[in-house]
Amino acid sequence: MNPSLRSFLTVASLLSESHLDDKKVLASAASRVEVGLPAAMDASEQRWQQFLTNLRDSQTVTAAQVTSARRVWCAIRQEVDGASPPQTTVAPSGSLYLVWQTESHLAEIEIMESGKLEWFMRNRKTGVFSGSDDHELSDLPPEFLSAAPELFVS
Amino acid sequence: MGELPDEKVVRRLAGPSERFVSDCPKALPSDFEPSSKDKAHTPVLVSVWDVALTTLQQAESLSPPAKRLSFLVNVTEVRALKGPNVYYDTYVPPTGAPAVSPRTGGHAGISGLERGARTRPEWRDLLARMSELAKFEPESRTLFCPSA
Repeated sequence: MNPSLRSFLTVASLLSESHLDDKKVLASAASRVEVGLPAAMDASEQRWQQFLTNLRDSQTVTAAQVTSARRVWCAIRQEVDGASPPQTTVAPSGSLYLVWQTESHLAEIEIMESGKLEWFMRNRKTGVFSGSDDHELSDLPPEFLSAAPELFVS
Repeated sequence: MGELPDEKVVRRLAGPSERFVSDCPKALPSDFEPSSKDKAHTPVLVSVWDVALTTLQQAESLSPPAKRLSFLVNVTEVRALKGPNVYYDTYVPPTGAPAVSPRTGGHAGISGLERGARTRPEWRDLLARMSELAKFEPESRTLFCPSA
């Protein structure tokens, strides 16, 4: 099996098990290591995780959206050393957007209220783009994770 | 509904306020997504302000109260995207807001940013190219830009 796919499926499986909810992933160093995250959060990730928690607690977004966002983060962080938390915002539609931008690329994940995903990626230099087209995915496809790892490092 | 002249600069107040950035904000594709209010308008116009006619403070005071980020966009560059255009638009104040005044004359809108018949990737590409044109205005209120 493709290593990217295998690592992502491991994360997805862990986070979908009821005994390992996203709070445990955030709180426990052992749990974080188990899903491929560094044992300790750096300041930037701490702020991002708190931001997500606040969005959920204020019911600005659904719990399903926050769980999906954390699953996406685990998958990317496991795949890419030094990945930065994404710019994150809530669109008028209620979708939660995670965006990574570098000089050469933009990658965007839309997480709908149901927790389903759409993705988009663009090479700013060549103008070439790709993405899902109303597929409402449950998980990120391996092609997204393996496309341009440096994209996730700011 | 007149077109704005080339070389005009318009201001987009991005919202909502729920936003996480690790550094100074860059415009995101979703900042140019038409809201439900924008979509109720024919044609669909994403709300912007002519900076020569309406100041940042005026635009903020005429917009729903929220922590807002402001991005500046050159009208000529918007037209170069081949599709979107920029038009002056009659400002309709929200309930309880001040009545229409001369300062509201700078209200305008960017057309052609709705999805329409485009595929999702085509639409996101258009919004991504739109967001690349936008320059953050440090004077805009934000809690998230340490160097602003």
